[in-house]
Amino acid sequence: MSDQILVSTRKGFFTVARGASGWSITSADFLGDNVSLAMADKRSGAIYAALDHGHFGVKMHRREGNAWTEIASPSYPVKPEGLDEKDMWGRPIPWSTIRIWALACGGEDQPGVIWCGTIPGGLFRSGNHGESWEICDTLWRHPKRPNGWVAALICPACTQSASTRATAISSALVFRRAVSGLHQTGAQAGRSAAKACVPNMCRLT
Amino acid sequence: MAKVVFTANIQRHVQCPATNAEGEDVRAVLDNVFRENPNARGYILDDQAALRKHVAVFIDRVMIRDRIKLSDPVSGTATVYVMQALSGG
Repeated sequence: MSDQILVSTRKGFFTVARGASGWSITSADFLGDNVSLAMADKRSGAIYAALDHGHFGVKMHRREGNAWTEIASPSYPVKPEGLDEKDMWGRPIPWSTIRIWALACGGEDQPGVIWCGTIPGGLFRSGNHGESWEICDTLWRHPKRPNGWVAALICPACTQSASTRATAISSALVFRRAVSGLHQTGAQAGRSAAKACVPNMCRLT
Repeated sequence: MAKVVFTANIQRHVQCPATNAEGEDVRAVLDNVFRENPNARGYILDDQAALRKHVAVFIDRVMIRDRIKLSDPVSGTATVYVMQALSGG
């Protein structure tokens, strides 16, 4: 049972820990800022927090000990000239990180590996604790992406496998990224259904 | 050389002191600013190097027109203001 809870809110980030007399807030950070997501990395002890500054974009921070450091945020490649992509509602698809949607650690044999899913539906990998990010190009350039692809979600269990590096799912699809490449392993209607089938994908891998 | 001033609102996230920068248009001026202060770049520009949706840039009292390529000309005596837009209710 965990002795620590990380609470991300629109008004700050709170660490809640279990003590002899019960649960209590042990630290409050980024007060007044929108913290959209956080993740604890048990391998290194670091904590990652995604902030959405609204006007000034999405930013990532890493806590080691009590010190926070701003690290790189996932960034999309240059959009090809003349490319006119629209989502299922006819809105232009941004080639820019709008929100950090999912975070997951790599396996025990992958120190420093962090996975990050975003809106729009790109999946990023960092091999150096978030100091830099690389987009999963095969997923981003998949022909089905513009067709209702909302965000990349990550199955933490799959990132622990040596042979299967991550599972990313969109609003309707499930993918398994194995050493041999990217494979679509299932399709469901709707994001909730896709979420539900992630455990099955884990068993498949 | 133009003067570049950033809104006080951004200072709590990243240090952006007022500075002077060379450049014939907004792109060149900001590129020179970010060369000296790379941490500030992602707060002002998006992944495609366009102005963020809720950031506004004025040259003296005139808001720039080209938010994508930032091609509005900047004179050597101008002041470039980088501000947050007033959005929402």
